[in-house]
Amino acid sequence: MSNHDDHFSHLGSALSTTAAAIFGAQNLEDTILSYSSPYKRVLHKAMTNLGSEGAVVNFRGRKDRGTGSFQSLSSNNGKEFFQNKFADSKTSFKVLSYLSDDQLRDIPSEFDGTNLSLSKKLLTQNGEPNSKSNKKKGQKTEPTLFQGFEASLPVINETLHSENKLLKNDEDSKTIDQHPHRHHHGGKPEMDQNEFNDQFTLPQGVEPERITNSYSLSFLKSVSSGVIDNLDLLEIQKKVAASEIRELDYKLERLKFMRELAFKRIAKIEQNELFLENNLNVARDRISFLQEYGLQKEEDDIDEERKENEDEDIIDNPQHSLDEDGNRPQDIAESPLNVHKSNENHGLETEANANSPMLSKSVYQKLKVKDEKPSKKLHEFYNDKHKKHRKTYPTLQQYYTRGSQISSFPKSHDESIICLDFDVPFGTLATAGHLDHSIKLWNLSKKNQVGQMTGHHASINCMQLDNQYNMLISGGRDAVLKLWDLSLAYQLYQEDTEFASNSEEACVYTFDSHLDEITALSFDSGHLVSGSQDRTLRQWDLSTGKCVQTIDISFASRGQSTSSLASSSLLSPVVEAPVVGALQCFDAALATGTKDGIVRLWDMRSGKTIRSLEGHTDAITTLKFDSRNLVTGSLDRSIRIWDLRTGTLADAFAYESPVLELDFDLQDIVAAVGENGVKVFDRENDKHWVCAQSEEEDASISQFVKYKNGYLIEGRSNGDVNAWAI
Amino acid sequence: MAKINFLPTLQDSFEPLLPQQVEILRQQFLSEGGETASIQSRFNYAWGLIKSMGLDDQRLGIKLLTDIYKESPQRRRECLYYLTIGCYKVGEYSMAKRYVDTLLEHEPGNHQIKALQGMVEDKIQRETVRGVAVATGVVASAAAVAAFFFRRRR
Repeated sequence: MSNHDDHFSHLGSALSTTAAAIFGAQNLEDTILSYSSPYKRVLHKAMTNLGSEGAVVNFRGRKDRGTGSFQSLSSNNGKEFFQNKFADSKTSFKVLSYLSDDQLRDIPSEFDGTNLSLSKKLLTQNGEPNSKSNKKKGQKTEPTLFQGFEASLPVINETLHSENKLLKNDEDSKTIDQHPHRHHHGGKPEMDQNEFNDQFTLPQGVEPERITNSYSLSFLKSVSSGVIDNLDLLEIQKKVAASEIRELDYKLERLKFMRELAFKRIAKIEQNELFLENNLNVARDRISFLQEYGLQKEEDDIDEERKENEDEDIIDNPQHSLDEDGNRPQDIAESPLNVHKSNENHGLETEANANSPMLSKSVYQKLKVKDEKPSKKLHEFYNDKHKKHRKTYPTLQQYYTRGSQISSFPKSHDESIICLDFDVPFGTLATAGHLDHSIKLWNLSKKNQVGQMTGHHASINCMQLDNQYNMLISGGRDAVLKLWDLSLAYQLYQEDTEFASNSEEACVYTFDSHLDEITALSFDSGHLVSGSQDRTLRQWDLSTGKCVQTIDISFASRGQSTSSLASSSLLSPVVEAPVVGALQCFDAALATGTKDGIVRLWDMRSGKTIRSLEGHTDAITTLKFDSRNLVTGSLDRSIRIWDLRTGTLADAFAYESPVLELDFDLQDIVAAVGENGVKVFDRENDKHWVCAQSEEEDASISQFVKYKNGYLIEGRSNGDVNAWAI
Repeated sequence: MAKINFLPTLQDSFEPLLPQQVEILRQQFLSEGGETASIQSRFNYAWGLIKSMGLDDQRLGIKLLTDIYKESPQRRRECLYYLTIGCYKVGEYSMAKRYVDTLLEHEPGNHQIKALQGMVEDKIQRETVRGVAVATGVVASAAAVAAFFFRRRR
């Protein structure tokens, strides 16, 4: 065959299709598709064109069903399918229904039951299959497609029959098309049959009673043979349906596989995005840093560096475009990206060595200069220049199945997790544990630790991460709030783990005015609000570090629990609820949840309460609001959802244990209630379910949750931290 | 009710269905997503089309069968059989011969296929004779015309 191909391919260019047809060229289609044929390109175009058009025609045909009769539609369909401007319908038909030699030759041998049966069946004489052998084998083997076709014909006829009956009953509908029933079922004979034939009938409409009453042998024989035929038919129909199920299973399997591939693709893309974003930030930091400090003192070093790197710099400095402010390109040559590139010749080890001294030198210089004036350091740090904007947002968590674990950080801390926060899904996570004075930073996509910040003199009660400034503010039991520079923390951790673990270098500023432990904090647009056991709220200006307002909330400390004074000493563990359980600020608005179970909304410009939401019967432990709702959780085991505009209760539900922490978005409310699993309330479907439930008997309990865009992170009593897809 | 044969005869393909029946098959085919419908419903529609009268419908049926052939290796043997019949019906005897020859290679000694092959070859022979006749006719008339002009010039 293939020899013929070559032969004809040479002839093909000369022969016209019609001549070839007349002379009965056996491999006409081969000629058309052979590579040297001038037809090839045009026909290939026609083929692809046809494929799409044909599909459109198919579906259009269905939509236009109401306009034409059945016959014209179906014939139109066939004609249109092979019509195009490149070739006549005969040629395009040949191209479209062409099977290559490879495809033709590749027929599986008879290991399969189907093929075995087919070949055996084919051996029996045409048209006279032995009914007995047919029945016996029919039970083992799969029916051919033709049998499936024949078996479905009676069903079709029945459908038509019942349709006609309906038509007769319903004179209003003029054509079958307009009949509502047809529209509804879209021509599914099987479904129709189920609907119409609830009771089954014997062939030829014989009543079952007649069999028991009959004494005619011939009648009974004909009935039984009819029934046997019917059974055969049903058997075939059953097998056809069974093979359909197998086919669907296979398709599902394949779809699952394809989904997995697409999922992996997204994961890879997002990791790439993260990598690029990080490097973009590094480059921008470097630019502003160099601009700020000029680096005139290191001119000599740079000159040397420049000589070394001259060649590479000219070729491969992608940051040139970023360098808008007239800096010499060489000035940013030491940024990690470029260091990496310029040191490629020296290998990776020298890269790390060459990199860190340079960076730490500048970093420590910066710190040395700034150490004397912390407020100025804060001012320098909290500056619009440092503001970063993410260009992309991770969405991979949406494609996990609900409730599946994305990643886990076992034993992040020795004791239970007190608080944690993360910036974006698959971004950075900060955790703090009980009896641990340090804050640990984790990379959520690489699942490793990337930083550790020490500086607090007691355990940390609350924290909030900020993406724009890449900073973290933490409030501890040592009555101070600390603002941390996370990029610096990463660097310090990379350079020297031991040194970094007991350094306070990454702390940019310490807010120190409170007299007792900090229990809640929140910041937004330039100011920070903290709540403390000293029964005050303080508002801080983030660019100066000054406390600009103190609000006394002694009146709110009267909780149901007694002796709040005794419990608020620095060293004894918190046994009962803090005075300020939770707070959140947004612009000039502030919401606080306090021990007396009352939620207060404040106007920070006046320092006055503008609204009190009463309803909880015990101390409020957690709250969060968005533009519409305020959601609060309390030791009274309930979660209440308030409408912010009307100030009324919108919804409320209770759990079996006190609510420790909650977080929500428009879709879900998640809550840690001191149980094994995390409670999730699906707001759209009004459904409760439990995530992160472990099977073990002595399972730890979930203490703290944070939730953003379907990405949940929970901290547990045994120090584990897990991320889940909601 | 007649027994269902394992495979159709050539005669089967010349017995058209009612247009309503074909339409139901088509709706079934479309409701399952056209190209992604189950093999059985695609075959049902394809076979319904092949049995019909219109040449284009028959061709569409063959095209659908070809798709099934490409997609499902387990069905290839029987598909070749159907394709042979389909191609025979639309007059693509060379295609039919190609399919039936391949099928016979895999099923040597199968009477049903041999009979089909015989019919196809018979048809091709007749067609070729007709083609040759037409060609000779053309050549002869051309020669006559040429001769006529030739003679006239002299």
